[in-house]
Amino acid sequence: MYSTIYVEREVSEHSLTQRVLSQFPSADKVECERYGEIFNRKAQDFRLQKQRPSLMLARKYGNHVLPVPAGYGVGGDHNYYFSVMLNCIYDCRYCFLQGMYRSAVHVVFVNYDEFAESIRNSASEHGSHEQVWYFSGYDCDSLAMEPIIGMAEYFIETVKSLDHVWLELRTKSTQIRSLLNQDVVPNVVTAFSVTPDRISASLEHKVPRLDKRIAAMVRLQERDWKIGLRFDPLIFVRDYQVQYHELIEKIFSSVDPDLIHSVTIGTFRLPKEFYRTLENLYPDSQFVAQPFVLSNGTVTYPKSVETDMKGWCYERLVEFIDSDRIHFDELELESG
Amino acid sequence: MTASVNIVVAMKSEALPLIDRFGLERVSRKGDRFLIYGNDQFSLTVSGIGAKNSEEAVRNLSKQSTSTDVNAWLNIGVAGHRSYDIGTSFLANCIVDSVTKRTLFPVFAIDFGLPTGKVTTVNVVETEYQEHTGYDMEAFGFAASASKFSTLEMIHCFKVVSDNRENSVQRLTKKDVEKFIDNHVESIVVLCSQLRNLASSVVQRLEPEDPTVEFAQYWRMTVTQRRILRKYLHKTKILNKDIKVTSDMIRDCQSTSVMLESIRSCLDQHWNNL
Ligand code: SF4
Repeated sequence: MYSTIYVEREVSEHSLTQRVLSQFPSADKVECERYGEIFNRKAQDFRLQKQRPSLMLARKYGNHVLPVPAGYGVGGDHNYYFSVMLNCIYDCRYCFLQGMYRSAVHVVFVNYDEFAESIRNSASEHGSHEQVWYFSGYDCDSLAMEPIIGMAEYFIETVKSLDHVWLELRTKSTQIRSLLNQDVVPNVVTAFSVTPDRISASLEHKVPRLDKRIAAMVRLQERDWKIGLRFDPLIFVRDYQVQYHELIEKIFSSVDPDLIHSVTIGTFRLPKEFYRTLENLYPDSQFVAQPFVLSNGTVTYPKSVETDMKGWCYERLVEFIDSDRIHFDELELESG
Repeated sequence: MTASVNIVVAMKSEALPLIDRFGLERVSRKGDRFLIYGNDQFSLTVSGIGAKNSEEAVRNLSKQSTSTDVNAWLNIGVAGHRSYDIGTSFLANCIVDSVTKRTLFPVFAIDFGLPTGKVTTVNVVETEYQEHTGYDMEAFGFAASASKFSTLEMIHCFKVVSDNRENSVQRLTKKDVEKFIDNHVESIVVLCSQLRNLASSVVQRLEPEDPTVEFAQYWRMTVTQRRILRKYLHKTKILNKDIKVTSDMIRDCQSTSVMLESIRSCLDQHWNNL
């Protein structure tokens, strides 16, 4: 999978570095001082790099845990996100990471212990009666790299003993083995982002098929793990009602709606500058070429399209899920 | 709008096997600072020894291209190495300036199928070979300069080990250097074609011609309006709603802003199934 792995000298002996390197014995190992020497430097082409991304193993200094932007969340009292990985093994044409970073290098910060300490510290600032949420799928997919980096396994252990703390693992992957291999942890939600099959096939490159993701949801539910559904971003197509109807029917023909922790709904939206980058990177993409509108610095669907799609999906979803478990995601960025 | 590979070598002896194999013709004139050879796919320049020369040779060669051309850049040359065998070739995966310690990392967006290693660019001939690295005198200047004209996926350094502790650089002759490069010329041909394909893939993203030219004959436009029109026309083309100037359009749209508005509303029909 990786033929070049960059390693910050400082973490070259770290146990996770060693564990990852041992999985790619034939990869070219290149040492560097700081990940910024490679990641996000000028004169890089995200689209070319996406053909064959490298891996970077680094240490993150400071800002391990940050408050989420307003509007993000599933009803918690306090919401934070943390990113032990930047970039993603999948390639969704609407993904904001393409606009945010110049490099497609997968950066993994191996100092999980410092992230965990920040989680514990920030959680301790809030009363035990308050729900404090930590979202891990902000700059990456939370589970896609699990067999290689064991991120979910580590942070599930972190939050296990913190009763008022919740962890969301947002994903489009089916890498759930590390969850199935342990007893259920009730304050962890695996949140699956879903789009109809045909839309996924054209826009979500390398993402596992919906059937497989539904199968993963079912297996988690069978073991009492909480799962969430993220209809975010909703993608407009002419027959979106047909396609999303099929999607919702397909999911609930297998997944138990009563056991769904939460559902979020949000439409495609990107900060203007990120969208401009996408236009330059993918001028041949029909998705990117659509006549989106600019609203408060965000490129998105015309209001009427957004309102209709959200409203229509909400109406379908309340047939299965109580309205208090459905949240509208108003965040400007989305991933996972 | 073309995709090509610009090759930079330090010495004429490194250039000769390549000029021969690629069938390059001399492009530079007598008295020009740098020798330049080329054909429709490749250009080659002889920079002279040293990072500064290489940097300037890149800048000079870049002037041969128009702003819409996409070029890959390849530095080819001999290097000393502490531990690699004489005659071994490799691509630089890390290029260090021995004086400033600045480092550049070429990006491997495709599998070139070649071994890789570190290169340290020195400003005096290296005879100690202290570190496990290739020692050359151009790579950093070359790559730093080329990165002003292309992205790092398309900038690479191909080195052939010519000297080490046992085989002194002092004994190296021009004929030896020519032979070292000649021995790898077929790998270089493959590498150049891979780089050219990369550059071509970027060219394909660019619009071959400005679709606003015809419109500009009928409507006077500011720079911003022309940029907006170009964007709209691009979107209509990608969304299969290609818009051509018609006599109706000329009659109905008596000003540029009306014309732009009419194209925008045509685009907005995209959402109209609601
Ligand atoms: S949208 Fe999510 S799954 Fe898709 S590429 Fe971005 S981070 Fe990965």
